[in-house]
Amino acid sequence: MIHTEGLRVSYRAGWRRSRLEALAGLDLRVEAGECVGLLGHNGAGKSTALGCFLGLIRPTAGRVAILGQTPAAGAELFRHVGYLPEEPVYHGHLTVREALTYYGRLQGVVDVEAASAPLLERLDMARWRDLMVSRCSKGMKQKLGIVQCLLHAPRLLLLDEPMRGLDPVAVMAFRELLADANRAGTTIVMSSHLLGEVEQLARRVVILDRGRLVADGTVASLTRHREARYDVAIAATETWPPEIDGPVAVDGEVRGTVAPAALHGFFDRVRADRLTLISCALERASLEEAYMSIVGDARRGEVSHG
Amino acid sequence: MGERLWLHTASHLRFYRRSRIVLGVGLGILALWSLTMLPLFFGGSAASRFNQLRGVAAQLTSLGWLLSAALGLYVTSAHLRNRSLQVILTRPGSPQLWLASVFVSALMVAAAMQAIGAVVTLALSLAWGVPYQIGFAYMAVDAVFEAAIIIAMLTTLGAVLHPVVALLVALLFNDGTFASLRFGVEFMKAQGHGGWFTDAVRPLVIAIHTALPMLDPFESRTASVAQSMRVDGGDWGYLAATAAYSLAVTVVCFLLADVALRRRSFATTT
Repeated sequence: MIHTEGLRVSYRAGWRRSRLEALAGLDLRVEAGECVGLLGHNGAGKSTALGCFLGLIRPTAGRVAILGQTPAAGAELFRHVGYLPEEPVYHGHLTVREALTYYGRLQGVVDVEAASAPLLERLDMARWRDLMVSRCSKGMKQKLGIVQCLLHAPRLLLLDEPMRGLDPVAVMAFRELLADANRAGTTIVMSSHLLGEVEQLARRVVILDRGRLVADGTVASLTRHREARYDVAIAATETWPPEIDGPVAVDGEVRGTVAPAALHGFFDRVRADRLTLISCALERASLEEAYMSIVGDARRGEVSHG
Repeated sequence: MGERLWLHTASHLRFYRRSRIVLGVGLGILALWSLTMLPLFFGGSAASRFNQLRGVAAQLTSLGWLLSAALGLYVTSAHLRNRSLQVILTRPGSPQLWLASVFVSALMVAAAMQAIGAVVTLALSLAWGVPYQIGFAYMAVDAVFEAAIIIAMLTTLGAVLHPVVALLVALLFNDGTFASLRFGVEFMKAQGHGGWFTDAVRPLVIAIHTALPMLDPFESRTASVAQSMRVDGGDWGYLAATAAYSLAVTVVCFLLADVALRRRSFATTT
């Protein structure tokens, strides 16, 4: 569906025209039906990558193919691609209905009214159909963006900060729409700073940092990236197993964490000292923690190599 | 292709219709025109009616020309600034089609303005009992071709420069200013003044003047039509030549604007 090889994009900036690398050799392959979250700090290269996928940015080097073709502005392959831009760059002089008709007809949708009505209903936008886009709030423009990118039932959805400006109800509705589309076979690539959203939607996460791919895997595999620990609680006692890190005595319990390597020793001690084990659960890192740690590792590696 | 061209064109026409800037400029020009034209409607003898009608027609032609001239620049700049082209370029349909629609929409407005002017002139000629001369229609059609030239030039400048800078460039670097400059340089050379500076500047001025499109390439040949509003066989030939010239300028400007748009980035780059 998406295939990049050594994708590089650099810009000249400043009065010295020094070269800034927005993408430094991105190798990525997204297969049909996947839902991929593209994560990274500001300036990591997420939007640049999306720009390359859409033919809006010409790579300095490397190759990019979408649906087997090299993307270029206005290419026929966009008949099968839906794009939600980061900024609400829609035609302000049109009403919501006119804008959707304009965009939909360009995509080859014959009956735009019929195609857009259910989407507008689900996003609670139907009553604003005749409002000028320029008078829409940020969230309404985002909803317009969502409808325009789903209108033609695309095979590939490229979403740049999709939840931006949406209220919680709209976030939920959009999440359902995306899940439905993905179940129906649509490939989704979404760039976002909202790691919780990505965690809920994407099965695969790609992390970019300073234009480089620093992690690529399933959400489960990335959250295992950090060494997991076990949260344990035992009934209050005067002495507790030394395997417990950071023990805190509270409400008749002693709580703390145990490293996986020390788990067997901890159980032996509990058994030997006849302590009452109240709970023991694996504490999994959230995507946010995994993200911070992966990017941190990547930067430390960069410093030590550099 | 035809449907996509029409979709873009219809969007641009809505943009003009709903733009407060276009409305404001239009009303301003109309107010100025009314102030200068109103005395003509309330005074004058039957004998001077023809001259009055000619004056009204000339003013209407200028009004239409002025209103439509900068539309291509305006719509191009507006779409480039708010990046709405992102939405268009990520849909099927070549960017050249969008660019063509800018030219077509502005030209449609120019043609409509001149058509309105021609109808008003015809109505006045009937009301005042002045025989309608075909020269009025001729001048209106000629004005559409002239408008096409200025629309093409300004749209191209709008694809490269900030709209205000584009307007300044169009005001400074036009056929009229360089014709005066050329005349001045040639005059100084003929008089033996100026020295090395004139010798150095002269080829440059001639080159730019030759390269710049003329707004009315056959003005001197068709001056009699503007005076008498009578058209003979040769004048139609000049009108056809003006049409061909404006088409050539439009094609060149279109290609330049296309190159300028291709070099632009339409994406956010973080």
